[in-house]
Amino acid sequence: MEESAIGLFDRVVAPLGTGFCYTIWLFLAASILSLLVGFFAGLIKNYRLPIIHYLITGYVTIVRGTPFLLVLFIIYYVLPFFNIMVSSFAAGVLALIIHEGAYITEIVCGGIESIDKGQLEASYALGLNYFQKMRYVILPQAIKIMLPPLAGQMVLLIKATSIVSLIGLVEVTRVGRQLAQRGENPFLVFALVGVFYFIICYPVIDVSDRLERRFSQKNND
Amino acid sequence: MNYVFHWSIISRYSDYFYIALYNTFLLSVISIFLASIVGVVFAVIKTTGIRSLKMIARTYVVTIRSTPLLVQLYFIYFGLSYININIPSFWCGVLALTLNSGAYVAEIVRAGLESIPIGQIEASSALGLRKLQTMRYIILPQTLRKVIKPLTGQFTYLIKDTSILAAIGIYELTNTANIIHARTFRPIESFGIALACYLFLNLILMIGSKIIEQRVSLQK
Repeated sequence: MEESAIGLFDRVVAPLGTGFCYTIWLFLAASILSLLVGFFAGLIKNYRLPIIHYLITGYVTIVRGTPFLLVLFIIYYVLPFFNIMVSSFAAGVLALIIHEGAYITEIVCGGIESIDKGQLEASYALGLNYFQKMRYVILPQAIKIMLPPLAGQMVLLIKATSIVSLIGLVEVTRVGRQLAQRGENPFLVFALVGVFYFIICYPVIDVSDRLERRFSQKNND
Repeated sequence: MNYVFHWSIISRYSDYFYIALYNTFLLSVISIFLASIVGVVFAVIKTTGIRSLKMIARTYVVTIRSTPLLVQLYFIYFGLSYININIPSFWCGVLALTLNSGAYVAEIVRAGLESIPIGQIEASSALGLRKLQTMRYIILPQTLRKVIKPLTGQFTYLIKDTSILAAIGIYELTNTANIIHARTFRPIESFGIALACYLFLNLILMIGSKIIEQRVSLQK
């Protein structure tokens, strides 16, 4: 059966494009917020306040052993019991923050800890307070170390947005599934869906790999 | 707060959870085993192979790393039934997990292989070992020591990723917890037990990797 390219575009590509916009929105909201949460949680964990330190360590340990889908289900189905109604989009953003925030916390905390102790002592000797020390001495150096794993984490985050389709958010993977169930060629549909993710993920992976290689070369020299 | 706990649902539905735990365990073990084989094969191709094979390996790893597991799973699940190959969804899940994890394992093993100094290979050829023997007795044992930690991390991801197979209706932990939640309307209990099971499985993996790490380490 012959069919025009325009017909195929209307049936498959256009709905996928709409779904892709949702994926992007979800990614933007979740990435900005989880970076914020992870950054501050990492700083607090590094500061080693007695009880809060253990709370954050416990949070990171539990989340890192739990599948994202389970976190998502818990948020989506448990919150209504406490009279908090969440849309699937809001539940997705919240679950992504909780899940990815834990990993980012570890990256930030690890990055700060990797800075040489002499730098800390030198900034005390110079009479800098905590914020000055962080702002002018530690963070500028730590950012370089944190960048490759953070980029890798962002790739994991955008891939995790596909799972939010399982609570009914109509983003690109969900649209693909609907099209496949409607009888479109699943190879074509999911190859296209894959291309959407590929366009975003591949450049980030590439940059992250290059940065990592450059740092490891520098360390070996 | 108007949530009333009914922990009795766990004992009432314990059979379901046993089956779910068993399924998740089985999926994880089979996929870890197969992904290790796929990963080592592609890693060896990438380091020693012919240029065209290298290209295939590179394309495979890049494609898998840049797309979500769920999309790969749908590609296999809907794709296979579209061309009239009907395999149980359990094995679709294993296939997707294996291909997905295999790419990451390949990257880890490749990094491990490349970290072996060239002097080792030269020394073994000076001893008159053949290529396969060099691989088997010199390079792989040293690589194993280096890759155990990152591989454990990757397999932790794999165990967690088995939850995504709920999307194609496999009765593993997350899907079962969701079904029991739908029947009993008690999400905290049913998802809580699933969460505990995942932590338990990851604990087993961690202990296992510690034991292997101790057995292959040089310091006894």
